[in-house]
Amino acid sequence: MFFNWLSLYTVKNLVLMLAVATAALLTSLLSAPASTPAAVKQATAETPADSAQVVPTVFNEDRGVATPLIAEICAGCKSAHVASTPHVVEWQAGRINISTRSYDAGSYLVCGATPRPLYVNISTICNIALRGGANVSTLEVSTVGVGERTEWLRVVFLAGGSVAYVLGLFLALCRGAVCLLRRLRALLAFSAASFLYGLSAFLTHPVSAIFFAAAAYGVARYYAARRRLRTWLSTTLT
Amino acid sequence: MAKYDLDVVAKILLILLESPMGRTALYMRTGLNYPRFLQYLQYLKERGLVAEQDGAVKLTPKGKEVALALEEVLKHLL
Repeated sequence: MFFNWLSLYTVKNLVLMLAVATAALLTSLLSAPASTPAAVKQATAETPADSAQVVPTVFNEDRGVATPLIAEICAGCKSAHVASTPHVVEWQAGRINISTRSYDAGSYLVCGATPRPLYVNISTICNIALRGGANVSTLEVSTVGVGERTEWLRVVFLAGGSVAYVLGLFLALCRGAVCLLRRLRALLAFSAASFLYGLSAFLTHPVSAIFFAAAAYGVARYYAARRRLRTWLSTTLT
Repeated sequence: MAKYDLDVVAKILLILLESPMGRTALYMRTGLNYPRFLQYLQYLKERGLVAEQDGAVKLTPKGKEVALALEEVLKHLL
């Protein structure tokens, strides 16, 4: 057999780092911004069925361009009342700081979002209730200006992590005595993969910083193992 | 006096633990340049860890003992 699964017991640190890297990969993939049409559909479906659907055109105030919508249902939204003409717009926003300048201007609904650097594509849904009528609508707001700028970074980290992950697998899937040395290096590769995947996910979900700690643990294990190995060999050979 | 990388020494010992092999085959697997490889081979011979016999490089009993212990240490570290 190419790979002896029973040998996993003897390489627990390697297996641990592989698991962490895989978890980081999944987190990174799952934290990718949702595709626009699906997100919009899902969001608007949650509005009351008997209300008229108003799907506003969303402008990003910073960029002044109509944005594709990247939505994420907000939790623990706080509400505010913003006076505007001709309607009073009641909105709820969570997760990102939407400026208080939400108003209905003719056929456009402008929602100014305050992008937070690094936390890219953090978006939310503003539940809009127009007091002037019975309309209840759902507005998705996205800090697209920031997202576009850093989206390539996320992709770069994801690609880098994938390279390290594949390298780690290549080094770890072997057999024989020399394989142990390769697996030691695989520990480092998986740590690098965890770090890069964590960085990729961190851009949208700061909680992913936990993978940095796991990567640091892997690197520490690698260098500790190397140091102990050298010490042992040095004393044995002299 | 040339310095010897203990990682390379470990690698050579573990390669020879798998099976004895010719000098050229061992040289190819170590990834060293040939003069440097010969230095390592000489270093290991001087310490009685490897010996050349019938054109093949093999571990001495002492070398085998060290290589097996090295394998155990590595397993423990991983």
